Amino acid sequence: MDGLSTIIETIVQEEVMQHKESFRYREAIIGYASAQDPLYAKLSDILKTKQLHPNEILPTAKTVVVYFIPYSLSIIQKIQGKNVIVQEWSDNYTITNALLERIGCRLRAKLQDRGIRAEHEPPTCNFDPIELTTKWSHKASAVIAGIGTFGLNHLIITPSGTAGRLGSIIIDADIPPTQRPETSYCLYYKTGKCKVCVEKCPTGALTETTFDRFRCNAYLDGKNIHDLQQGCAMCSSGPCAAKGFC
Amino acid sequence: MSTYTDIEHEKALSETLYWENKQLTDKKAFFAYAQYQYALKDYIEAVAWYKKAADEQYIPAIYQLAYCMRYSLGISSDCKIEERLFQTVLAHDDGGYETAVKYRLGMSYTYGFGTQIDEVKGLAYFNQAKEEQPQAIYELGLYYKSGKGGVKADKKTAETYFREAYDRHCEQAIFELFAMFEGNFEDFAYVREIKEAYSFKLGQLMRVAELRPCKEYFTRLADLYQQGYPGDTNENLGKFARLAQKYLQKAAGALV
Repeated sequence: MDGLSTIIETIVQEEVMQHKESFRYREAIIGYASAQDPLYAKLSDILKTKQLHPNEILPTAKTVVVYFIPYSLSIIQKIQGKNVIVQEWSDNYTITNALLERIGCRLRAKLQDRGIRAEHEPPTCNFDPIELTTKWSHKASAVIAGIGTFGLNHLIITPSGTAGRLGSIIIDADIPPTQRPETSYCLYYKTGKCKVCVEKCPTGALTETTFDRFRCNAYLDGKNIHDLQQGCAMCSSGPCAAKGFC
Repeated sequence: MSTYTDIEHEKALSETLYWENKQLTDKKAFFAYAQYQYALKDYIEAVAWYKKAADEQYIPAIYQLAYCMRYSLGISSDCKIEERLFQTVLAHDDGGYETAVKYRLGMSYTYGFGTQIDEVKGLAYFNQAKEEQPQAIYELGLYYKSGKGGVKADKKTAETYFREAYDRHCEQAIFELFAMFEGNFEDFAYVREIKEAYSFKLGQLMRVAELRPCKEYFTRLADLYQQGYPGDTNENLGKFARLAQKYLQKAAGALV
C-alpha cells in the first residue's frame, strides 16, 4: 500500500509546512508499526501500567501510524541556554496540540473516504490525573514505529532531535513497518557522557536512573500557575534538542 | 490527600482569568487581588495591594500588611509600624461572628500581635474558626504538637489536625506533618504528598523569581534548595546544594 503511505505523509507534511505559523516547525518524521508487533503485547509490563493494545482501540487494527513534528531551530534556540520558559515555547505547545488534533481528524476522514477505518487518541489530556499515566503512549508507539529511541530524558529522541510533539493514529490497512534504529539516538546512552537533561532538571525529578513524574508534574503546577505558560523544556533543550546522535 | 497541586493549579488559572478582566475599584477588590498574589507567593505584589486597601482602613488588609512585615514577606520588618498596625486591627476588628475575625484574633493572642500573648484565648478563637478556616486547624495542630494554651502535647491529635488542614489545602500542614515524622522516609505515610508539596512550592518560588528577580525571591529559592528534597538521593542533594549556591549568588548580585 505504497499509495496509502504517500497519502498519509502528504497530509502530515502539508499540515506542518503549510501551517499559518510554519516557522514553528521542521519537516515531520513519520513511521509505521504493525499493530501485531509483539512489543505491544509487552508494553504493560515494560511501562508498569496498563497499556491498550491497538486492537483494543480498533478491533481490526493493522497499522499504527506515528508522526513526530520537530520544533524549528529558531524556537529551540530561544529556550537553549536558558533556565526559564519562554513564551514562544509555551505557545508552541498549545498551537501544536491543535495541529496534532487537526492532523488526526484529517487523516481519519481521508482514510475513511477510502474505506479504511481509523481511530486516534488526543495528543494530550488523555491521562489518569491521579496516577499520571496514560493507556495509550504515543512515545512507546514512536519507538515501535522506528521514529526514535528513548533518551535519558525519558522523551523520544529522533534524528531531528527531541524538541517536538508526537501524534499517532491506528488504521485497519497494512503499511510495511518502518525499520527500527539499531542504536540509541541519546548521547548518554551512546557514550556514557552528557547528562545535560539531568543536570538541567530544576526539581531533581529526572536522575540517571529514574524519572519521578509526580515531582515533575507538581513543579509544573506551581511554576505555570499564573501565566498560562505550558511546559518547562529544560529536559528537551540540551544537545539532543534539534538532532539525534546517530 | 493529594491532587492538591492540580486543584491549586486549576484554581489559580481560573483566578488569573478572573483578575485579568477585573477592574480593581475598591478596598475589597484590592484585598482580594492581594490575597490571590499572596497565594502565588508574589509577596511584593501582594503587599502593594494590601497597602492600597489598608490606606482605606480595611482591617483584613491592615492585618495582612502587618503580618507580611512581621515575617518580611515582600516588605522589610519594622517592629514599631507592625505593632501599631496590629493594634489597629485589635481595636477595630469587630466583624462579630465572622470566622476570619476569629482567626485573626487567634493569631494575635497566640503570637502577641499587638497584644500580650494569651494562648488560652488564642486556642479558643481557633476552635471557633476551625470550621471555615483551614489555617485555624493548622494552628490547632501546632497547639497540640507543642502542648500549649492548657492542652497537653498530643502527637496523634496534632497529626489529625495537620492532615485535615492539608486536605483543606493548607500547604504548611504537610511540611509540619513531615517535620514531626521520625523514621525512614519510605515509611512516611504521605511520601507522594510531601514530594508534590515541595515540588509545587519550588515551582511557585521559581516562577516569582523569574517574574520579579530580586534579592528576596532568590534568597527564598536558595533556602528551599538548601533545605533539600525530602528523602532525596545524595546525587540530587548535591545538585540542590549547587543550585542553592547559584541562587544565593544571584541574591547577592540583585540590587533590591
